[in-house]
Amino acid sequence: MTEADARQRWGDDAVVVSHDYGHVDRAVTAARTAGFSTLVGDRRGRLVGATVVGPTAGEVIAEFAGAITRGDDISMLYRSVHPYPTYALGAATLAQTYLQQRWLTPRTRRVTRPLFAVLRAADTIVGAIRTWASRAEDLR
Amino acid sequence: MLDLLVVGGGTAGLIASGIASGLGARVALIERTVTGGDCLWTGCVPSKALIEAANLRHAMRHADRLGLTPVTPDVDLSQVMRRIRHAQATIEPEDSPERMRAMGVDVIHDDARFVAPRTAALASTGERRGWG
Repeated sequence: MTEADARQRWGDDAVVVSHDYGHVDRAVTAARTAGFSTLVGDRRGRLVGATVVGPTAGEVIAEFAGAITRGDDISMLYRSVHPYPTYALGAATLAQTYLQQRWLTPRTRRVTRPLFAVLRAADTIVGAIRTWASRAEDLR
Repeated sequence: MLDLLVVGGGTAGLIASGIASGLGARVALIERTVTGGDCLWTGCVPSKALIEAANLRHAMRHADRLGLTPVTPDVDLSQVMRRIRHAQATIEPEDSPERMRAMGVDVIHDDARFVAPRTAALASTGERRGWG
C-alpha cells in the first residue's frame, strides 16, 4: 500500500514515516546519499506498505515485504537487531522515528513524569531511613 | 536528584539517555572526550568509508570480470582520509551534545567516578551527582 492509498483509507490516522539516504549512515560512508525510503502503517501501527529508492533498494525492500506478509507491527522492525552501518538499518531507523513520534510525547510524559517523581521521593525516604538506622546502630 | 546517570556518550549511552529523557526522566550524561563513541570516531564509520574506497579500487582493477578494461587508480591517501572525515562530520550532529541537550539531557564533559552505589563524583570539580 502506498502513502496515497493509506491516506485515502485512514486519513491523518495513517502512519507515514520517510527519510532520505542522507540519514542512512552506510550511504553517507559510501558517498551514495541519493535516495529515500518510506514506510506506511495502518492506524494501529501495523506495517502495510514501504517504498525504497536508492542503493541496494532491492535487498532492503525484502525485510519490509516479509513484515507486511506476516502482518507485523512497525515496532518489530526496530526490535530486531540490525548491523551498523548498513543500508538495511534504514528500516529500523524509520521504525524508531515512528516509535518516538508515537510514544515519546507530552501525553506519555504526563504519566511517566509523576511516576519518576514518586520513585525519587521513595528513594529519598528509603535513604533517610537507612541514614537514621545506621545512626541508631552507632549509638547502641 | 536524577532519575538516570549515564557514564559514557557512545552509542549505548546516547540512545539510553535520549529515550529516558523522551519519557520525562531527569538524565545526565557524562562523557570525557567527544560524544559518538568508538563507532563514529575510530570504528564502524571510518572503517566503512575506507573500505568503500578500497572496494571500488579493487573492482576497477578486476573490471575484466564484467567485460570492461581493468584500470588501477592511483591512491591519494590524504584525499581518501579527507572523505572519511567528511563522512564523520556529516554523521556527527546526530550524536552531538547540542542535540542531546535539545532532547533535555544534561551533557557533562568530564571524567566520573562512582563514590557510592548511586552517586558519582566528577573528576575535575569533585561535584557529586546522584540518582535514585
